[in-house]
Amino acid sequence: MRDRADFERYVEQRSARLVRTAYLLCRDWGQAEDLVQTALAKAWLAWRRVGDNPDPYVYRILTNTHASWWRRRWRGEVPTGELPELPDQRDHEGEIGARDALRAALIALPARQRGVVVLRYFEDMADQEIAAVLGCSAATVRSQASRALAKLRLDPQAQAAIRMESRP
Amino acid sequence: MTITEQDLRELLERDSGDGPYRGVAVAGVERRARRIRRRRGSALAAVAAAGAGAVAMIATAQPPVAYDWGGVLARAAQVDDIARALIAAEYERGGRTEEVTFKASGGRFLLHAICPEGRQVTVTINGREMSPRACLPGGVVWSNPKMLLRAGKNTMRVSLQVIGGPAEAKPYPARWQVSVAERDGKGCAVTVVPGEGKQVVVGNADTCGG
Repeated sequence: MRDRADFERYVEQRSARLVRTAYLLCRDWGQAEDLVQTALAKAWLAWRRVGDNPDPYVYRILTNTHASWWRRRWRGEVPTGELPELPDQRDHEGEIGARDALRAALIALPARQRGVVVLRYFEDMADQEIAAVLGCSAATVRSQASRALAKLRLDPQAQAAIRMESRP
Repeated sequence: MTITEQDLRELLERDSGDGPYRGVAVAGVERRARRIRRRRGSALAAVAAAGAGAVAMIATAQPPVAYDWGGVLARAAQVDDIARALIAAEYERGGRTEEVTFKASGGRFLLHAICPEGRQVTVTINGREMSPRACLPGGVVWSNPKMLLRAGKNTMRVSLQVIGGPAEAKPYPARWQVSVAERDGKGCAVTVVPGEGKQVVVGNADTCGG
Protein backbone atom coordinates (compact mmCIF):
# COMPACT_ATOMS: atom_id res chain seq x y z
CA MET A 1 0.00 0.00 0.00
CA ARG A 2 1.29 3.47 -0.86
CA ASP A 3 1.63 5.94 1.97
CA ARG A 4 1.83 9.68 2.54
CA ALA A 5 5.63 9.82 2.35
CA ASP A 6 5.34 8.16 -1.03
CA PHE A 7 2.90 10.80 -2.20
CA GLU A 8 5.04 13.69 -0.95
CA ARG A 9 8.04 12.24 -2.73
CA TYR A 10 6.03 11.86 -5.91
CA VAL A 11 4.82 15.48 -5.77
CA GLU A 12 8.34 16.71 -5.11
CA GLN A 13 9.89 14.72 -7.93
CA ARG A 14 7.20 14.89 -10.60
CA SER A 15 5.15 18.06 -10.17
CA ALA A 16 7.54 20.37 -12.04
CA ARG A 17 7.39 18.08 -15.05
CA LEU A 18 3.62 17.74 -14.73
CA VAL A 19 3.27 21.54 -14.74
CA ARG A 20 5.24 21.69 -17.98
CA THR A 21 3.00 19.06 -19.54
CA ALA A 22 -0.09 20.84 -18.27
CA TYR A 23 1.20 24.12 -19.71
CA LEU A 24 1.55 22.50 -23.13
CA LEU A 25 -2.05 21.35 -22.87
CA CYS A 26 -3.56 24.67 -21.79
CA ARG A 27 -0.88 27.29 -22.69
CA ASP A 28 -1.34 29.21 -19.46
CA TRP A 29 1.05 28.84 -16.53
CA GLY A 30 -1.52 29.74 -13.89
CA GLN A 31 -4.04 27.29 -15.23
CA ALA A 32 -1.30 24.67 -15.63
CA GLU A 33 -0.50 24.84 -11.89
CA ASP A 34 -4.20 24.70 -11.14
CA LEU A 35 -4.60 21.63 -13.35
CA VAL A 36 -1.69 19.82 -11.72
CA GLN A 37 -2.88 20.68 -8.23
CA THR A 38 -6.32 19.30 -9.05
CA ALA A 39 -4.90 16.17 -10.67
CA LEU A 40 -2.62 15.48 -7.72
CA ALA A 41 -5.42 16.16 -5.23
CA LYS A 42 -7.62 13.60 -6.98
CA ALA A 43 -4.72 11.17 -7.08
CA TRP A 44 -4.13 11.68 -3.34
CA LEU A 45 -7.75 10.79 -2.62
CA ALA A 46 -7.19 7.46 -4.38
CA TRP A 47 -3.54 7.04 -3.42
CA ARG A 48 -3.97 3.75 -1.55
CA ARG A 49 -5.34 2.15 -4.70
CA VAL A 50 -2.69 3.54 -7.03
CA GLY A 51 -0.18 0.92 -8.13
CA ASP A 52 3.59 1.07 -8.18
CA ASN A 53 3.64 3.56 -11.01
CA PRO A 54 1.27 6.47 -10.36
CA ASP A 55 2.10 8.23 -13.64
CA PRO A 56 -0.61 6.67 -15.86
CA TYR A 57 -3.25 7.42 -13.25
CA VAL A 58 -2.07 11.01 -12.71
CA TYR A 59 -1.69 11.72 -16.42
CA ARG A 60 -5.14 10.34 -17.02
CA ILE A 61 -6.67 12.68 -14.45
CA LEU A 62 -4.63 15.55 -15.88
CA THR A 63 -5.78 15.03 -19.47
CA ASN A 64 -9.39 14.33 -18.45
CA THR A 65 -9.52 17.42 -16.28
CA HIS A 66 -7.95 19.54 -19.00
CA ALA A 67 -10.41 18.26 -21.61
CA SER A 68 -13.27 18.96 -19.26
CA TRP A 69 -12.04 22.51 -18.44
CA TRP A 70 -11.27 23.15 -22.09
CA ARG A 71 -14.83 22.35 -23.11
CA ARG A 72 -16.26 24.51 -20.36
CA ARG A 73 -13.97 27.50 -20.27
CA TRP A 74 -12.01 27.74 -23.45
CA ARG A 75 -13.49 30.60 -25.36
CA GLY A 76 -10.47 32.69 -26.26
CA GLU A 77 -9.57 31.23 -29.62
CA VAL A 78 -11.54 29.65 -32.39
CA PRO A 79 -9.92 26.68 -34.18
CA THR A 80 -9.60 27.21 -37.90
CA GLY A 81 -8.88 24.88 -40.75
CA GLU A 82 -7.01 27.63 -42.56
CA LEU A 83 -3.53 28.05 -41.14
CA PRO A 84 -1.22 30.92 -42.03
CA GLU A 85 1.00 30.16 -45.01
CA LEU A 86 4.45 29.02 -44.00
CA PRO A 87 7.52 30.78 -45.39
CA ASP A 88 9.27 29.08 -48.28
CA GLN A 89 12.87 29.61 -47.33
CA ARG A 90 14.54 28.40 -44.18
CA ASP A 91 16.04 31.71 -43.15
CA HIS A 92 16.06 33.01 -39.59
CA GLU A 93 12.84 35.01 -39.91
CA GLY A 94 11.28 32.09 -41.70
CA GLU A 95 12.09 29.74 -38.83
CA ILE A 96 10.51 32.09 -36.34
CA GLY A 97 7.45 32.41 -38.56
CA ALA A 98 7.24 28.63 -38.91
CA ARG A 99 7.52 28.17 -35.16
CA ASP A 100 4.77 30.70 -34.58
CA ALA A 101 2.58 29.04 -37.16
CA LEU A 102 3.23 25.64 -35.59
CA ARG A 103 2.48 27.04 -32.15
CA ALA A 104 -0.78 28.56 -33.41
CA ALA A 105 -1.73 25.27 -35.04
CA LEU A 106 -0.97 23.39 -31.81
CA ILE A 107 -3.17 25.76 -29.82
CA ALA A 108 -5.97 25.31 -32.33
CA LEU A 109 -5.96 21.51 -32.03
CA PRO A 110 -8.90 19.94 -30.18
CA ALA A 111 -8.00 19.02 -26.60
CA ARG A 112 -7.83 15.30 -27.31
CA GLN A 113 -5.48 15.67 -30.28
CA ARG A 114 -3.30 18.14 -28.41
CA GLY A 115 -3.11 15.65 -25.55
CA VAL A 116 -1.90 12.94 -27.92
CA VAL A 117 0.75 15.25 -29.42
CA VAL A 118 2.02 16.36 -26.01
CA LEU A 119 2.14 12.85 -24.58
CA ARG A 120 3.84 11.49 -27.68
CA TYR A 121 6.36 14.22 -28.45
CA PHE A 122 6.98 15.80 -25.06
CA GLU A 123 6.49 12.90 -22.66
CA ASP A 124 7.78 10.46 -25.27
CA MET A 125 5.11 7.90 -24.45
CA ALA A 126 4.41 4.93 -26.71
CA ASP A 127 0.97 4.77 -28.30
CA GLN A 128 -0.06 1.94 -25.98
CA GLU A 129 0.82 4.03 -22.94
CA ILE A 130 -1.06 7.01 -24.35
CA ALA A 131 -4.04 4.74 -24.98
CA ALA A 132 -3.99 3.65 -21.34
CA VAL A 133 -3.82 7.27 -20.19
CA LEU A 134 -6.61 8.47 -22.47
CA GLY A 135 -8.76 5.38 -22.01
CA CYS A 136 -8.95 4.46 -25.67
CA SER A 137 -7.33 1.99 -28.06
CA ALA A 138 -3.86 2.40 -29.58
CA ALA A 139 -5.54 2.57 -32.99
CA THR A 140 -7.53 5.60 -31.83
CA VAL A 141 -4.32 7.22 -30.59
CA ARG A 142 -2.72 6.67 -33.99
CA SER A 143 -5.67 8.13 -35.84
CA GLN A 144 -5.82 11.15 -33.52
CA ALA A 145 -2.07 11.67 -33.97
CA SER A 146 -2.39 11.38 -37.70
CA ARG A 147 -5.14 14.01 -37.82
CA ALA A 148 -3.17 16.30 -35.53
CA LEU A 149 -0.02 15.98 -37.62
CA ALA A 150 -1.96 16.73 -40.77
CA LYS A 151 -3.20 19.93 -39.19
CA LEU A 152 0.31 20.78 -38.06
CA ARG A 153 1.54 20.27 -41.62
CA LEU A 154 4.48 18.09 -40.71
CA ASP A 155 6.93 17.03 -43.34
CA PRO A 156 5.28 14.22 -45.34
CA GLN A 157 8.39 12.10 -44.92
CA ALA A 158 8.22 12.55 -41.19
CA GLN A 159 4.53 11.64 -41.31
CA ALA A 160 5.33 8.51 -43.27
CA ALA A 161 8.00 7.59 -40.75
CA ILE A 162 5.60 8.17 -37.91
CA ARG A 163 2.94 6.00 -39.54
CA MET A 164 5.45 3.20 -40.00
CA GLU A 165 6.59 3.35 -36.42
CA SER A 166 5.22 0.31 -34.63
CA ARG A 167 5.22 1.66 -31.14
CA PRO A 168 4.10 -1.22 -28.89
CA MET B 1 9.47 24.99 -45.65
CA THR B 2 8.21 21.90 -43.87
CA ILE B 3 8.10 21.15 -40.19
CA THR B 4 9.65 17.94 -38.96
CA GLU B 5 8.91 15.74 -35.99
CA GLN B 6 12.13 17.00 -34.43
CA ASP B 7 10.96 20.62 -34.81
CA LEU B 8 7.82 19.69 -32.94
CA ARG B 9 9.78 18.07 -30.10
CA GLU B 10 12.04 21.11 -29.83
CA LEU B 11 9.14 23.52 -29.84
CA LEU B 12 7.37 21.66 -27.03
CA GLU B 13 10.60 21.48 -25.05
CA ARG B 14 11.37 25.18 -25.57
CA ASP B 15 7.86 26.47 -24.91
CA SER B 16 7.45 24.58 -21.66
CA GLY B 17 11.00 25.43 -20.59
CA ASP B 18 10.42 29.19 -20.63
CA GLY B 19 8.01 29.46 -17.75
CA PRO B 20 8.31 29.60 -14.00
CA TYR B 21 7.72 25.88 -13.67
CA ARG B 22 8.54 25.03 -10.12
CA GLY B 23 6.04 22.34 -9.35
CA VAL B 24 3.34 22.57 -6.74
CA ALA B 25 3.42 22.35 -2.96
CA VAL B 26 2.03 19.37 -1.08
CA ALA B 27 0.14 21.74 1.24
CA GLY B 28 -1.70 23.26 -1.70
CA VAL B 29 -2.57 19.81 -3.02
CA GLU B 30 -3.93 18.82 0.39
CA ARG B 31 -6.15 21.90 0.54
CA ARG B 32 -7.50 21.10 -2.91
CA ALA B 33 -8.09 17.46 -1.90
CA ARG B 34 -10.09 18.57 1.15
CA ARG B 35 -12.28 20.76 -1.07
CA ILE B 36 -12.89 17.93 -3.52
CA ARG B 37 -13.71 15.53 -0.70
CA ARG B 38 -16.22 17.98 0.79
CA ARG B 39 -17.86 18.51 -2.60
CA ARG B 40 -18.10 14.80 -3.28
CA GLY B 41 -19.47 14.14 0.19
CA SER B 42 -22.31 16.60 -0.23
CA ALA B 43 -23.06 15.40 -3.76
CA LEU B 44 -23.20 11.79 -2.71
CA ALA B 45 -25.37 12.56 0.28
CA ALA B 46 -27.86 14.23 -2.03
CA VAL B 47 -27.69 11.34 -4.48
CA ALA B 48 -28.34 8.86 -1.73
CA ALA B 49 -31.35 10.84 -0.58
CA ALA B 50 -32.70 11.35 -4.10
CA GLY B 51 -32.84 7.85 -5.40
CA ALA B 52 -30.50 5.27 -4.02
CA GLY B 53 -33.43 2.88 -3.86
CA ALA B 54 -33.24 2.45 -7.62
CA VAL B 55 -30.19 0.30 -7.28
CA ALA B 56 -31.08 -1.42 -4.06
CA MET B 57 -32.07 -4.54 -5.92
CA ILE B 58 -28.47 -5.56 -6.36
CA ALA B 59 -26.75 -3.50 -3.70
CA THR B 60 -26.34 -4.36 -0.09
CA ALA B 61 -27.38 -1.90 2.57
CA GLN B 62 -24.00 -0.18 2.66
CA PRO B 63 -23.98 3.61 2.14
CA PRO B 64 -22.78 4.98 -1.21
CA VAL B 65 -19.17 6.03 -1.48
CA ALA B 66 -17.19 7.97 -4.03
CA TYR B 67 -15.21 5.82 -6.39
CA ASP B 68 -12.36 7.56 -8.14
CA TRP B 69 -11.90 6.91 -11.78
CA GLY B 70 -10.21 9.98 -13.15
CA GLY B 71 -12.18 12.28 -10.96
CA VAL B 72 -15.27 12.60 -13.10
CA LEU B 73 -18.16 12.48 -10.72
CA ALA B 74 -21.68 13.47 -11.63
CA ARG B 75 -23.14 16.07 -9.34
CA ALA B 76 -26.25 15.46 -7.35
CA ALA B 77 -28.29 18.06 -9.18
CA GLN B 78 -27.94 16.14 -12.40
CA VAL B 79 -28.84 12.73 -11.09
CA ASP B 80 -32.33 13.29 -9.77
CA ASP B 81 -33.51 10.87 -12.43
CA ILE B 82 -31.11 8.14 -11.50
CA ALA B 83 -30.42 5.45 -14.02
CA ARG B 84 -31.19 1.86 -13.25
CA ALA B 85 -28.39 -0.60 -12.63
CA LEU B 86 -29.03 -3.58 -14.89
CA ILE B 87 -26.43 -6.14 -14.03
CA ALA B 88 -23.32 -6.56 -11.93
CA ALA B 89 -21.15 -9.59 -12.57
CA GLU B 90 -18.03 -10.73 -10.76
CA TYR B 91 -15.48 -13.16 -12.16
CA GLU B 92 -12.53 -14.99 -10.69
CA ARG B 93 -10.72 -16.04 -13.84
CA GLY B 94 -9.13 -14.17 -16.70
CA GLY B 95 -8.16 -15.44 -20.14
CA ARG B 96 -11.54 -16.75 -21.16
CA THR B 97 -14.72 -15.19 -22.50
CA GLU B 98 -17.66 -14.99 -20.12
CA GLU B 99 -21.22 -14.55 -21.32
CA VAL B 100 -24.13 -13.07 -19.45
CA THR B 101 -27.62 -11.96 -20.46
CA PHE B 102 -29.74 -9.23 -18.97
CA LYS B 103 -32.95 -7.38 -19.69
CA ALA B 104 -33.13 -3.67 -20.46
CA SER B 105 -35.71 -1.20 -21.59
CA GLY B 106 -33.37 -0.18 -24.44
CA GLY B 107 -31.30 2.94 -25.01
CA ARG B 108 -28.07 4.47 -23.75
CA PHE B 109 -26.00 2.79 -21.13
CA LEU B 110 -22.79 2.96 -19.18
CA LEU B 111 -20.37 0.14 -18.51
CA HIS B 112 -17.99 0.01 -15.56
CA ALA B 113 -15.25 -2.55 -14.97
CA ILE B 114 -12.88 -3.02 -12.07
CA CYS B 115 -9.90 -5.14 -13.00
CA PRO B 116 -6.18 -5.68 -12.26
CA GLU B 117 -3.63 -3.28 -13.74
CA GLY B 118 -1.65 -4.57 -16.69
CA ARG B 119 -4.78 -6.18 -18.15
CA GLN B 120 -7.50 -4.98 -20.44
CA VAL B 121 -11.17 -5.75 -20.73
CA THR B 122 -12.89 -6.56 -24.01
CA VAL B 123 -16.65 -6.26 -24.21
CA THR B 124 -19.08 -7.36 -26.90
CA ILE B 125 -22.74 -6.49 -26.53
CA ASN B 126 -25.26 -8.12 -28.83
CA GLY B 127 -22.41 -9.09 -31.16
CA ARG B 128 -20.90 -5.60 -31.42
CA GLU B 129 -17.42 -5.22 -29.97
CA MET B 130 -16.49 -2.11 -28.01
CA SER B 131 -12.93 -0.74 -27.88
CA PRO B 132 -10.87 -2.66 -25.31
CA ARG B 133 -9.90 -0.56 -22.32
CA ALA B 134 -6.77 -0.91 -20.19
CA CYS B 135 -7.38 -1.42 -16.49
CA LEU B 136 -6.48 1.49 -14.25
CA PRO B 137 -6.58 1.98 -10.49
CA GLY B 138 -10.15 2.87 -9.69
CA GLY B 139 -11.61 1.03 -12.64
CA VAL B 140 -12.41 1.78 -16.23
CA VAL B 141 -15.62 3.22 -17.63
CA TRP B 142 -17.15 3.20 -21.09
CA SER B 143 -19.14 6.32 -20.42
CA ASN B 144 -20.67 6.97 -23.79
CA PRO B 145 -20.84 3.86 -25.99
CA LYS B 146 -22.18 4.63 -29.46
CA MET B 147 -24.40 1.57 -29.56
CA LEU B 148 -27.73 1.31 -27.77
CA LEU B 149 -29.08 -1.53 -25.69
CA ARG B 150 -32.01 -3.50 -27.07
CA ALA B 151 -35.38 -3.39 -25.41
CA GLY B 152 -35.67 -6.86 -23.86
CA LYS B 153 -32.89 -9.43 -23.72
CA ASN B 154 -29.27 -8.33 -24.25
CA THR B 155 -26.22 -10.56 -24.40
CA MET B 156 -22.85 -9.39 -23.14
CA ARG B 157 -19.56 -11.25 -23.65
CA VAL B 158 -16.59 -10.02 -21.65
CA SER B 159 -13.01 -11.14 -21.28
CA LEU B 160 -10.01 -10.08 -19.24
CA GLN B 161 -6.74 -10.34 -21.11
CA VAL B 162 -3.14 -9.20 -21.11
CA ILE B 163 -2.88 -5.80 -22.83
CA GLY B 164 -2.56 -6.45 -26.53
CA GLY B 165 -3.00 -10.19 -26.03
CA PRO B 166 -5.69 -12.56 -27.31
CA ALA B 167 -9.11 -12.67 -25.66
CA GLU B 168 -8.78 -16.40 -25.13
CA ALA B 169 -5.72 -17.75 -23.34
CA LYS B 170 -4.96 -20.27 -20.64
CA PRO B 171 -7.32 -19.26 -17.81
CA TYR B 172 -5.65 -17.79 -14.73
CA PRO B 173 -6.98 -16.61 -11.37
CA ALA B 174 -7.99 -12.94 -11.34
CA ARG B 175 -10.79 -11.08 -9.59
CA TRP B 176 -12.59 -8.63 -11.82
CA GLN B 177 -16.01 -7.14 -12.15
CA VAL B 178 -18.26 -5.63 -14.77
CA SER B 179 -21.49 -3.73 -14.29
CA VAL B 180 -23.96 -2.15 -16.71
CA ALA B 181 -26.34 0.70 -15.94
CA GLU B 182 -28.92 2.46 -18.04
CA ARG B 183 -28.29 6.17 -18.28
CA ASP B 184 -30.63 9.05 -17.72
CA GLY B 185 -31.17 11.68 -20.39
CA LYS B 186 -28.11 13.61 -19.28
CA GLY B 187 -25.80 10.64 -19.23
CA CYS B 188 -25.51 10.28 -15.48
CA ALA B 189 -25.79 6.88 -13.89
CA VAL B 190 -25.45 5.03 -10.66
CA THR B 191 -23.87 1.65 -10.72
CA VAL B 192 -22.71 -0.80 -8.10
CA VAL B 193 -19.41 -2.38 -7.22
CA PRO B 194 -20.23 -6.09 -7.33
CA GLY B 195 -19.45 -8.03 -4.22
CA GLU B 196 -19.04 -4.87 -2.16
CA GLY B 197 -22.45 -3.35 -2.69
CA LYS B 198 -20.98 0.14 -2.97
CA GLN B 199 -23.04 2.50 -5.06
CA VAL B 200 -20.95 4.36 -7.57
CA VAL B 201 -22.03 7.61 -9.16
CA VAL B 202 -20.48 7.96 -12.58
CA GLY B 203 -20.92 10.09 -15.66
CA ASN B 204 -19.21 12.73 -17.68
CA ALA B 205 -19.25 15.97 -15.74
CA ASP B 206 -19.67 18.00 -18.94
CA THR B 207 -22.44 15.89 -20.33
CA CYS B 208 -24.18 16.16 -17.00
CA GLY B 209 -23.76 19.87 -17.04
CA GLY B 210 -20.90 19.94 -14.49
